[in-house]
Amino acid sequence: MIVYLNGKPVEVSEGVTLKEFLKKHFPGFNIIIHNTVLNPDFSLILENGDRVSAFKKGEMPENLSLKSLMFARQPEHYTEKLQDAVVGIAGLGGLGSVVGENLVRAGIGKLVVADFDIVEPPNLNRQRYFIHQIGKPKVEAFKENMGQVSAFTKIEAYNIKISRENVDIFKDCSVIVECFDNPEAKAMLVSAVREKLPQKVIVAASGVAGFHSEKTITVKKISDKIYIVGDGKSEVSDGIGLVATRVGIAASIQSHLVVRIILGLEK
Amino acid sequence: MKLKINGEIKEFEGNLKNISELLKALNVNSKFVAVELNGSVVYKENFETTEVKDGDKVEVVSFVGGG
Repeated sequence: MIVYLNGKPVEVSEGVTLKEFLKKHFPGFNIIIHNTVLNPDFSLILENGDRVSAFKKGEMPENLSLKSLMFARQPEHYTEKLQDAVVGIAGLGGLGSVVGENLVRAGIGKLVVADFDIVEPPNLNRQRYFIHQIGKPKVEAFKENMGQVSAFTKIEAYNIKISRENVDIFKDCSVIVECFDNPEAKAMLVSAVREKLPQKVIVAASGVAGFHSEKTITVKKISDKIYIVGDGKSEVSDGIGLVATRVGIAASIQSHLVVRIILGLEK
Repeated sequence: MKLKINGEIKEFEGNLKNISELLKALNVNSKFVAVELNGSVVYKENFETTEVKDGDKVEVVSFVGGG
């Protein structure tokens, strides 16, 4: 039978325990993950198709095993589906920079991202950029940062303002995440996608401002193609503002919906 | 008149002539909304001139700012 060690197939005879397997094939390990479980029981008997990840704490793994180790805590059949997916992100601010990072970490194969803005100091309270990136186009800063996280998501970046005329940059995406700040732009994107790319699923956000309870952020399914995350009413106005924690919750819900839609778990 | 709004049948008093009047009746800001009438997108430039009639299916997705 075959057991995968850091993604590589190894021929193993029936009845071999995890401990015996590791002693033979990776004697120097000290961290083990077996089928997404960290620190498993070493006396367990391996089964055909099992996935074992092993590494030395604090050591950089060789390139070939990095991908398998990076996704060792996710079921492999899910990671494979996510690697095949293309997702669009319209806007890389408080919502988009968080949605994007979550999707890169989850292993989405390709992101198509668009934003026309640059990084500015008031962005840093909630957007995933760094002080030294002030003045840089957000699409560039995002690509730079995601390159530090993973080599397993291709990023196609457009430094443009999305409109009805150019929304077809998202034509290869199965899901498009609406992450704008401006409500007119939010409505425009939904209209443009519905008109030009009607087969796409849209995951939009509305009502993420303020310091209201986290419990008020919900998902509203308008149709099979449109989901809206937020409380639907809390907008930016005098004294309300935007904070990393609440915007971040909405962004995490948006990205989790994307993952579930791609995996066919969202009915 | 009766309209199906986001999958739910809603009864309106009197006759609504166009999308603009419908949005007013729904208390929705016509600048921040995406509208589909019987499956076709209606852009905000055309809200005044796009008529609605009894039994129409309308999708109304409204937004507030922040992100």
